[in-house]
Amino acid sequence: MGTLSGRNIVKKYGKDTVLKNVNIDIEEGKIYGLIGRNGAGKTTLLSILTAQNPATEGTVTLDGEPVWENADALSHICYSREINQVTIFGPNTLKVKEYLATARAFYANWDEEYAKELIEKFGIDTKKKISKLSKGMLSAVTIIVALASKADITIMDEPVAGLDVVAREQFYKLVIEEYANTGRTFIISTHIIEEAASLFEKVIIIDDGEIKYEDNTEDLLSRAYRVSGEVDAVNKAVEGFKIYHPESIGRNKVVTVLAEEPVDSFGNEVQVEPVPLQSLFYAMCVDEREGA
Amino acid sequence: MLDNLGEDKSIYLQIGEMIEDEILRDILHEEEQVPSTTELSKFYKINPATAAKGINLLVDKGILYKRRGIGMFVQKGAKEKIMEERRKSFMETFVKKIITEAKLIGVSRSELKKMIDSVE
Amino acid sequence: MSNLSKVSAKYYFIEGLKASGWCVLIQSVIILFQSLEASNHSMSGIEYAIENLLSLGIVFVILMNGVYSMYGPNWYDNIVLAMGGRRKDIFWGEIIKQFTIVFINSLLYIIVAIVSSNTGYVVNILSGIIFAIIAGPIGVIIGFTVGKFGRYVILGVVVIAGSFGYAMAMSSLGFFDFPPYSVALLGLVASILYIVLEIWVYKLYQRLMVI
Repeated sequence: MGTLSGRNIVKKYGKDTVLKNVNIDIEEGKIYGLIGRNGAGKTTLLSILTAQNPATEGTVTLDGEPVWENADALSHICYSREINQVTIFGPNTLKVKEYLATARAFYANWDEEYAKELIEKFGIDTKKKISKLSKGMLSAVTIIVALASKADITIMDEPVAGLDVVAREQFYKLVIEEYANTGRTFIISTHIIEEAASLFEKVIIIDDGEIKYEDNTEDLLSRAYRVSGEVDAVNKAVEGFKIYHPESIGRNKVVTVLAEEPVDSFGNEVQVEPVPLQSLFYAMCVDEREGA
Repeated sequence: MLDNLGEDKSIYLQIGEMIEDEILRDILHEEEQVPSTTELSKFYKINPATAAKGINLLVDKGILYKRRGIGMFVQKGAKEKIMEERRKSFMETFVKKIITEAKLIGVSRSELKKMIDSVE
Repeated sequence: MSNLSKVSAKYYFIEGLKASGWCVLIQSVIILFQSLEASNHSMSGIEYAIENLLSLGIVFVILMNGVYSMYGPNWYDNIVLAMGGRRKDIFWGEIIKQFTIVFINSLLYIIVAIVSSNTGYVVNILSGIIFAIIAGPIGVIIGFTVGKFGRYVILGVVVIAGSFGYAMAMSSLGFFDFPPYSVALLGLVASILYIVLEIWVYKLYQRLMVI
C-alpha cells in the first residue's frame, strides 16, 4: 500500500496562507501523532492529504500515485472528523444511523459487527439526530466511523475533543487494541498531548502552517532536556544548543533544550531533567530562540 | 497514557526494567511466560511497537527468549544476569548520587558510613 | 467502472428512491384531502383531486427536485465526499438521483392520467418533466452559491421558484392549445440548456471541499 506523501503543499484562502510548503511522509503501519495549536493547519493538512480539499500548490501521492479523485487510493483512506451539527440550511437533522449507513456504504472494509460493539460501548442512541447529540456523543460517532472503517490509513481529527477522561482512556485503549490486532496506520491529530504521547510512534509538530518537527517520539524526547540552575551556570551549559522558553526567577533559570543528538552531560553545575512531550511542545510554541 | 510509568526514561527501557525487577523479586520465575507485547501495550496504554522494543531489548540481553507460536519466556539464569548488570551500574546509579547528596547537605563520609551500617 | 463509482451510483439511486417516496407520500396525502372536500365542485372529489394532481403536481416535482438538489453541495454531497467519495462520482450521483425523482413521479402521473382517461394531460406532464430536470442543476448551482450568500439567497430563490412554478401552472392550463411539436422544441432548447448547466455544475463539483 505504500507511503502517503505530500510534497511542497501550499494552501491559501485568498491572501491568507494557511500551509506553507509542507512536506510530509506517512509510512504504513505506524501510529502518528499530529500535534499543533488551534489554527496551526492540522485539519487543512489532513483534508489535503485525503483529497477532501484541493491544495493551492503541491502534490499528494499514495505509493507514488496521486490521491486526487483516485478511487483506488481513496479506498485505503478514512478521514473521520467532527460532523457539523449545523448546516447552512439549519440544524443537521440527519440521524446517526443514517450517517453510519452512509459510512457502511462507502467504506469497502466496513466492519458492522465492530461498529455495533462500539455503539454499545459508547452508549450511542443511533435514532438521535446529529444536531441533538452532545459533544461527547459527537466525538464518539467520529471515532466509531474511524475504527469500524477498517481502512488501511485511518485519520482522526481531534477525536477526544468532546470526551471526558473516562471516555478518553477508553479511546486510547481501543486504538491500541485495534492497532495491535491489525497494524493499521493511524494518524491522530490532537491538542491534548500528554495523554496520547505514549501512543504515538512518530510525532509531527505543526505550527503556523509549517511542519516544525517530525520524528520518532522517543528519539525526539531522548534529546530534549530541561536544564535548570544558577543563571550563569545554565547559560554556560546550554551554549551552542537550541533553546526554548527560558524562564527566570531570582537567580534561578530554567530553559528547555532540544539537541541534535542525545547529550551525555551538561556538567555538574546544573540540574537536568527529561521533558514530557506536552512541555516540549509548549516550550516550542511559546518561545523560540536559537542557541548561540 | 502511563499510569505508573515515569517520565524520566524512555518508555521501552522502563518496560524492560519493570520486567527485570519482577524477575529479581521472584515475581517472575525462570521459564515462566511473560505478558505479550499486546497485553503490555494495552495495560500501560503505550504503542505496541514501544512495548515490543522493550521486550526485544531483554531478548538481546539474554533475559528473555521466544518460543515460536507461544510467546516470551524468562531465560534460565536471567536473574543472575540482571543482578550482575545492575551491580556494575550500581556505582553510578546509586552510590555516586548518595555521595553527592551527602556532600550537598553536609553529611560527612564517616556519618554516611554509620548511617549505612545502622540499616538492617 | 471502479467499485467506488458503483457504490456511489447505488447510493444516490437509493437516495433518489427515498426522495421519490416522500414526494409520492406527500402528494397522496394532498389527494386524499382534496378528494374529501368534494362538495364545492362540479365533479366528484376524486376527479377533482386527480385533475389537480395532473395539472399542478408536476410543479411540485419541479420544486422538490430543485430544493433537494440545493441541499446537495453543502450537506449530503459533503458527507459523501468526507467518506472518500470522488467528486466525479458525486456529480453523476446527483444526476442519477435527480432523474430518479423526476421519472418516478412523472411515470406515476402518466399512469394516473391514462387510467383516469385524462390523457390530454400527458403533454402537460412531458413539458413539466423538462422543467423538472432543469430544476436539478439549477438547484445544485444555488446550493453552491448559498454557501457564499447565506439564507437570504434561499428566501429569494424560494420566492422566484414559487413564482416560476405558479406561472408554469397558469400557462399549463393553456397548454392544450399547443401543438405537440412545440413540446419537442421546448425539449431541444432545454437539452442544450441542461448540458450547459451540467458543465457548470461539473466545474463547481471539482472544487467541492469538505466543510
